[in-house]
Amino acid sequence: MSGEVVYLVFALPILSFIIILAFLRPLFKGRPKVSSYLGIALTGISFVLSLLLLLGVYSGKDLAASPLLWLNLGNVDIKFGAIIDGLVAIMLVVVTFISLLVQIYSVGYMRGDPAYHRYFALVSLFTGSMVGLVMASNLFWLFAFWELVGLCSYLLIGFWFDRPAAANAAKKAFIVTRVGDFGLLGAVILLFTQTGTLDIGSLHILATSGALAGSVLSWATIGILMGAMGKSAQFPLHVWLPDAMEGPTPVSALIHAATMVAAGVFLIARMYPLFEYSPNLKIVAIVGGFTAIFAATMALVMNDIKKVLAYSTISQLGYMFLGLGMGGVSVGIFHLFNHAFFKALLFLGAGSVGHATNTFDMRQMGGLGKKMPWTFACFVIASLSLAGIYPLSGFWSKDEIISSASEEPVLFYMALVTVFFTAFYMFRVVFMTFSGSYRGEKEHLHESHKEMVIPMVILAVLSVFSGFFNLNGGFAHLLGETDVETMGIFEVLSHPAAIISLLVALLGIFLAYAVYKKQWLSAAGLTRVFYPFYTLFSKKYWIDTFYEDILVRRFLVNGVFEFFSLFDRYVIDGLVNGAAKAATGVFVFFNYFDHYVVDGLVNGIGGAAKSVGKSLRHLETGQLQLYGAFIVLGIVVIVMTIFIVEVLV
Amino acid sequence: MLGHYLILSAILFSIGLFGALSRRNGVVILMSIELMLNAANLALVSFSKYLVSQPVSGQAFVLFILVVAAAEVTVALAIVMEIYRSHQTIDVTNVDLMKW
Amino acid sequence: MEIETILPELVLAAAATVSLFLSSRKALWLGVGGLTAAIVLVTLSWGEEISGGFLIRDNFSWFFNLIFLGSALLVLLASRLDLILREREYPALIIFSTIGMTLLSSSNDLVSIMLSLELTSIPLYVMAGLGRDKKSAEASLKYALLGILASAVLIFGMVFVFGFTGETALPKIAQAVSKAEVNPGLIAGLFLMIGGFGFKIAALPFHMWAPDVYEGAPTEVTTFLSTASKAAGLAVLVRILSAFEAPVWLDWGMVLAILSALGMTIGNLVAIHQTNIKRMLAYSGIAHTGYILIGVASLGMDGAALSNTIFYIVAFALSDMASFLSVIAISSNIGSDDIADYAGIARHSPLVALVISLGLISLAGIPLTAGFLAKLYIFTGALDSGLSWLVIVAIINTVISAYYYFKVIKVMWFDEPLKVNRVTVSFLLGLALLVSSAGILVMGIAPSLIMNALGQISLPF
Repeated sequence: MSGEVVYLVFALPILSFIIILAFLRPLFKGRPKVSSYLGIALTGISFVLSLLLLLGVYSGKDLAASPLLWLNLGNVDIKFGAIIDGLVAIMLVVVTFISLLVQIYSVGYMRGDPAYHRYFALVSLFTGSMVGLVMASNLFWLFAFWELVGLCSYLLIGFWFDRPAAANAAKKAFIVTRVGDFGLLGAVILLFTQTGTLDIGSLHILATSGALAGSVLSWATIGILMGAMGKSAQFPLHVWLPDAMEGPTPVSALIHAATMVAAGVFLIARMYPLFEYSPNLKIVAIVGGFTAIFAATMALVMNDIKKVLAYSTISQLGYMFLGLGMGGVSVGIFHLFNHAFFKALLFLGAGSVGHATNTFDMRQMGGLGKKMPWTFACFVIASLSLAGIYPLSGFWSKDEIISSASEEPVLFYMALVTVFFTAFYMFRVVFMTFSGSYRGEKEHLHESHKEMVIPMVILAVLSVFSGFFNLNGGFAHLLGETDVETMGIFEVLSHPAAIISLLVALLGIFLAYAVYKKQWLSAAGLTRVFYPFYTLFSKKYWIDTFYEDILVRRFLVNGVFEFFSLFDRYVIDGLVNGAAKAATGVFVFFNYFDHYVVDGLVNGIGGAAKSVGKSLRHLETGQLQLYGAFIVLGIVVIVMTIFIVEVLV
Repeated sequence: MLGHYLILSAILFSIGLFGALSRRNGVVILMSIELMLNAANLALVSFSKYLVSQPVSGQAFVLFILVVAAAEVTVALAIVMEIYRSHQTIDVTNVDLMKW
Repeated sequence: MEIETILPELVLAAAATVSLFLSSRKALWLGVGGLTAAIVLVTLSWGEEISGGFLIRDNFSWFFNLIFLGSALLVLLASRLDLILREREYPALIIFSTIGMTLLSSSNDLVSIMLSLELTSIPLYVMAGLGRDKKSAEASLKYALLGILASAVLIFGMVFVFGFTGETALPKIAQAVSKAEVNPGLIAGLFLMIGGFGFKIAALPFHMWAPDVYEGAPTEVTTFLSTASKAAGLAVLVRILSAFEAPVWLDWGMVLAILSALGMTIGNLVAIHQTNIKRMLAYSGIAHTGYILIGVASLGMDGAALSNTIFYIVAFALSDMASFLSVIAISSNIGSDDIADYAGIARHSPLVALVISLGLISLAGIPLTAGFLAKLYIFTGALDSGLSWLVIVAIINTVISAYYYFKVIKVMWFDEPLKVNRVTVSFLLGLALLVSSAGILVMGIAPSLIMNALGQISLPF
């Protein structure tokens, strides 16, 4: 097998997108399933190929893909090439695998949706662009796919665009992530102008050799970090992710587990040598540590099951940033790897529950454990894994992050508190949803279709076992790290950080049990005691309000845009009006002069005065003579300026 | 001598310009622009006479400008007619359906 | 001068003249045939360089000729049948104007520049009025009076340049300028000329006619104005400026850079508030003239600036073409140019909505479209020329402009349709839409195809 296979991994989902949109959608109107079968088949092949690539990289084969020349920019060739290393291989497997499962699940979930074809086309494009982003050997391509991923998420979040909330959420996601993207774009342009190359491998060499250093490196990494923060929903650009729940639930699973938000973490891992040699690695850790605890607090109080999961994702992404900042590539990416499985599972579980009850509000649920045993079992496994309970997968990666954070006491304690919050809010969800008695109105609740259950079971198995991947440092070796502390499956329990975090997690679960299962403590009482915090959390720290109301509406719309509109009215049109009014003196004079010389004898002073009034009234926009005046005035101003600048000075 | 002609040309150009920008009658505006073109012609001829080694090209230029001016005015007058037909006026200040 | 030098123009002139005596449909087909023949002739001449007196036919002019002829052909294909049936002279007018443009980009002498500029403009004045309603008449009047005023200013500038260099031929002017000392007369002459061409390309502050004329003129004519006519003005501007490259005492690059910054900013800011799509595209066009002027401003400093500028012109022409042609399709069906009336168009006519979205996305400069690469080239070129402040202004403007482009896309795809209006598209219009959107994608995905050709273009002095 040669490395060029990687282009196939990328091309197959794109091909699926094109075929569905160009042929299946118009030709197979009545048989939408054809699209899903095609998407599943091609993504399946992609997955198998990426698995082969991973095995190839794991066994140490030298897999390189020769690039294809694409664009010649000045003296620089931009090539469409692919990197194949451990990081790429792992990401490819995760992306194609989650996408495959999500598509299988969607066959059941999207059954009967009128836009079935469009859905599968977009998911294919989403997968393809993410694959392109991951394998890109060049920052230019990475950025292009980065934008394409953003566009796809926009289209999928707004998939049900006839719902205003969905359209708004899509817009919000697009705009907020764009803020970060400008940072990334700035970094790309800066790197290009300063080094003349956008090839990622060359940039790594430049950074490690010290040729790329100082303020350039510093600014470039800050720009890259901004891009990553936007995509991975880190504070203060996190506001789009909870709203993005308006898309179909399988899309949320895809966005949260493998594609959109993973891109930010991946980007930092990809550009890691740049961060390592810049002073900004610590900032990554601080952003991550803060976002982790900040988002977890909001997850404590949400009543919408998908909102809890959304804040949970933000919080877990914070962990990944923390892991990247404190530990290294393998620490952060290992958590991304494990998180992909259990978070996808949680979303698919939430989708299954929502599919059955027609709501995502946990206050309308309860007692579903008996009705939906498979969903219940899978959801509990995923929750245990997310909470970091030994020996499920979440435990292993979270333990690595927390022990790497122990060098910085503040970050370490923030991470520990987050563990507690995480365990609490996840089991709050479990108990509110699956135990007790049903509080909703829908009758005949039943387990979901098997297309939906099978992917969940597969993910549940992986949520249990994927953590063992790094038992002997295998995962870290794959990412090219050699001096790794290896830990056996039982030795880990003698590790103090592991014990502490495990205990804290169990405490969180116990508290949730006490409040929501046994009701030894009343939830309402807790709310009253912590009322200020409750308000703060449930109002999302007023950040959304701040952005929407103050920043966008008051400042941008009423302030800046109003200013521009005034500017527009009074300076552009008004410059014509106003300045022309100011210049009216001159015009009036010549008008007067004209009348006086040419037909002044006939009209006399009275007529001239009248025409002055008329000129005044008529000096309005829409007047072609003022347009002409501007042409002449423009030339006069330019020539005068040139005289003053070039000739006199 | 050249200076005198150029000054005369500049004055003619300015009178034409201000006529074009201040008179409201479409036809008078056209006449004013004709004045500007003739100012250019005057300058051209005087340059050819006093400054330039090969006067022919400048004088030929004048002929072309005259032709172009005639063509422009013909079309523009037809357009003013069309405006009169649709707006019942040739006062350009009243032709402001589109603005902002 | 050999007859082959102007063979494409002769073919076109013959077609246009004969078409005046034919019925409308035959005139249309003769026009299409003439333009196609001219395109073939020009393509075959690629690489040849013929220089004779007033005209010089080099790769620069051949390439621009292709832009003009292609635009004219697409516009003619896309024109509404009722317009063609009512105005029998319409194909002839388009072709005469195109002849003016092809000559303009090949002109090597002030006299031929003036003559071909008038040949370009006069038919356009008439075409702007072909809508036969009040707005169209108004557009025609505004365009004609201001156009004539601008050409008077231009001619006055030419007179100055002639007076102080003693030459009308551009190569000789270039020689004289390179030897000249600081000369106020030359400065005034050059900027009077820039003012005249600035009017043609709708550069700030000579742009004010554009929104009114674009709105009032029939959309076919607007399309032609914003693509071919703008490209023609830019072609001649580039030629003239390259004759003024030498003098160190005259930094026209900085003036153009400032005009460019103002044009982008004001064009984009005003475009945000437009409710009429043609008017919005007019302001967008003013902003894009600003982007193009970035390339023109760095002409003297950066070797790649010429090909970058032409790439941008082609990308803009294609994107604007796709947008305006879709406007023809949509507006003639729903009977309105208001953006608000475009609500939910995509629900019933996704293909047309897709084409206009593609055009707008490309205008906004999103990757994988021609507009993105065009901006990338221009911006990197300007950075090399030390115009980093201008690049920053341009990037900020790109962000602002995305707002109003996406507003239209949002209205079409996400808003509730006001009434059920299926947009029907004639075969020829569909063909034109297909060609322009394919062009956007091809340029956006495989730019080397066109960049290789642009690499063979150079200016003689």
